[in-house]
Amino acid sequence: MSEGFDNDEMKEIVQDFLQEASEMLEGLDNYFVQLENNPEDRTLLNEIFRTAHSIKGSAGFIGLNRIVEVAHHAENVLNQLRTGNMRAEPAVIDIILEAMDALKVLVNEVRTGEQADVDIEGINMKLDLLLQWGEDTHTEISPEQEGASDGDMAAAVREEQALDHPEAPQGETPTEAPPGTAPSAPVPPPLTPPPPSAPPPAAVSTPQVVRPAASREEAANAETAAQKGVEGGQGESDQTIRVEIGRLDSVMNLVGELVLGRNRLVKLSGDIDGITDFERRIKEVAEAISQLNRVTTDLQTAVIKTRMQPIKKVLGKFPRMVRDLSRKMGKSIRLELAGEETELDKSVIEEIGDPLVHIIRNSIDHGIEMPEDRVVQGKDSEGVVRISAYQEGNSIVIEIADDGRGIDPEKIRRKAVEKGVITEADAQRLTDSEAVNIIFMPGFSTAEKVTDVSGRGVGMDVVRTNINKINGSVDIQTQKGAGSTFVIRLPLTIAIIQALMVSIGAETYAIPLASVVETVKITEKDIKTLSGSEVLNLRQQVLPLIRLRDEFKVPHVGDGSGVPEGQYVVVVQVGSKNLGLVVDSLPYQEEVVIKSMGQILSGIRGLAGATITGDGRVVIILDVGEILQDVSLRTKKRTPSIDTVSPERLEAGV
Amino acid sequence: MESSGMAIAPLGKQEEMTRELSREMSEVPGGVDFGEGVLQLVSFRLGEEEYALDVMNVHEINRISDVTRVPKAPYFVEGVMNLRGKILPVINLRKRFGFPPPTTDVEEARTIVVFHEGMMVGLAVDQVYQVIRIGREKIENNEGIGLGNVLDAVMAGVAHLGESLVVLLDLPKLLEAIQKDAGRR
Repeated sequence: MSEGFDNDEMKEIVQDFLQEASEMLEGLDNYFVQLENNPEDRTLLNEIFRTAHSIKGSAGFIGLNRIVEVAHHAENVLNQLRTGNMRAEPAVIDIILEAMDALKVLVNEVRTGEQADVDIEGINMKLDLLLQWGEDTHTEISPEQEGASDGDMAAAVREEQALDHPEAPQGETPTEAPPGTAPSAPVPPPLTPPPPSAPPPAAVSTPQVVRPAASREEAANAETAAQKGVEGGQGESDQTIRVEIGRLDSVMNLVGELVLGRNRLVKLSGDIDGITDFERRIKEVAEAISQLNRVTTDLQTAVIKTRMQPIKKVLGKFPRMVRDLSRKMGKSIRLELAGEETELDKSVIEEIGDPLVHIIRNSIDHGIEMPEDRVVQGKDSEGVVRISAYQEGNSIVIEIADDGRGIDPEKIRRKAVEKGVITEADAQRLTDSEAVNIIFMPGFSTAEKVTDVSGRGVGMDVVRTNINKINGSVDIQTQKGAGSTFVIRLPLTIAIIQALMVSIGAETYAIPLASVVETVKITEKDIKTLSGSEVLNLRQQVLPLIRLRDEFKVPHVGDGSGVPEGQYVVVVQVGSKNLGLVVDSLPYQEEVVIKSMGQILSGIRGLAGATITGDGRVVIILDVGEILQDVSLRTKKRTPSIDTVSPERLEAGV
Repeated sequence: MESSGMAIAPLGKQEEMTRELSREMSEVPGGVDFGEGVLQLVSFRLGEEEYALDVMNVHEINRISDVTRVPKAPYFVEGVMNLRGKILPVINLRKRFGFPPPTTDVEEARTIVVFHEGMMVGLAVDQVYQVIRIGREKIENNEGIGLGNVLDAVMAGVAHLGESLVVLLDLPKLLEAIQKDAGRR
């Protein structure tokens, strides 16, 4: 066929596209049917537009121009529907569905490699006529107009649609699928207005430099659009996941064992009469319970595994993106990937794509220097962006490192003040690493000039928001002149976390174990004060403390004298910040399921939700990230940043 | 939200409870045939006063169980409770309406679990009395009769039941006000 793919990497991208496109086209079928029933449904229209747009974007990305062409025309029509200039009447839906069918055939053409007989011109013409007709009726009110010169053809098409069977518009489209198949095979039309050079191979006439740029842009658009589509579809649309049979088998086996365990317990509880050897019976019950315990744990792991997908799914799109981006920027950049097999929960995979795109674009646009500049600095003219993923304890770490110019904290301070993101006084108080983290704040961008790659001041704040949404964290390490590394930490799974239970007075709280670094037993006299803040000198490092008893105003129990002798400090870390939480005791660890506390209580800072423990009690789960943020804001008001004080001064001063 | 499942499941229970409670109160003044003009209300006590909620908003009534205090929650939130695996906030209506803390009979205290548009909360009250059936015409629609701003904003009217007065609460408004206050914090 006309679009040839010659390497493995491309094959993989195409495979992904085929799978994605087929699923999306499938979904669009249903959407259009729904739309016909509820022509005014804005949400649905937006969803359709998004999906169609994603397909066009993805197709454009890999150069499937025939698909882009049809999708583009369909998108124009969809846009009219979306903006309310046209109503989703059956005749309109007919033509759109016809276009969808054509797209399906075209997608299949890519799969089989055999050129299918599709009359693209015919379909495009119909769509265009529809567009004109829509405009006419919009201005002239009645679709039944007869005279208008433009309207003639449109009306003809419409009438033909209305009279003949609705699914199969006939006429100038000899190539379309047989009439009966029309409704079953919808194809998603992409909607975004494509850069003029993108769809037609006519771009041959344009300079070589321009075309890759355009396709790169589209690729980037497609990226985000696809992501949006996924997000938007969550909840309502039934989502699917492909699971290796092996994993399902192991679930099946474990369920079998579970049943055996149950039977054993039922039997043991059944014949209680005539027990003589109680000790032995108790031992048997204990054995059965411990077997159940083991099986349940394994089963939990096995079920979680069915939701796990390799991060390759996301990373696989980046080599092409980096190549196109760097070509457009005139930079020379090599992308290195490591740990692509690392697995993440499906829901995490879906959320992580967008932030990664932003970070990589940022590295390419702001990080890596022009080849000439690199040579002057004694670096290899080719820059390197390295993405590595690995598991660390209960979290997955993704690092995006570049060997570019790094981030200059001074420049960030200056820009942040200029843009009013922070005040001059704040800026001076910030440590270098805090200053660098300002790039995650909304409305901040240091790009000297706005490029279409980045620099609009959106992006990095989206990165942090999206990552926080899935209980992850993001942090930057940077060295001026040597490069920057973004470190993203994500939970293995979203709903179930390991938690450290802590007691304060009569109350118990859960702290996500992922943010706990260590726990330390201390006595009251270990706690020092520094400019009014309590701190602990831990291995020559100053650790700010907060007492959860005061922070949460935990009521004193008993006679009130009861501040316990020993206390514990739970050292938590988010990003590069550490904090010690002072608690009374550490009763146990438990795996907990995070539940919401409902709308009324959802906005409380420092609380992530609640969980129900084995004995039916509700235990509140702390949001360590928010507590850290709030505390560091507070201490900044009170003292110049305590992070910069050396332990020596602390000891001397107290 | 999980509202759709929620709204359907409770109905069976609700009817059951209504039937049971209404047996005891068949001699309630104003109790007539069920019909268009008849409201069914769950009446309860706060301090010395009687209040009522539309039975259609009531999911169930529980003894006060373990309530976990929620730090930094609005003053009128007693905490959260475990309702068969679902976590619900418990609103202390005494505090919400500015009553002093109770002095006696904690024994009778109950949590009325109410729901509206996907939101489900427990309302802690001093005692639950009965289900009343009452004709709409017996309800005075005197909103804002000067019982204090907090109460005025959420009452739907006052019913005369023999000697006593029952304040009929408007649950949607109550929940809305609570949510607004919680958000303002």
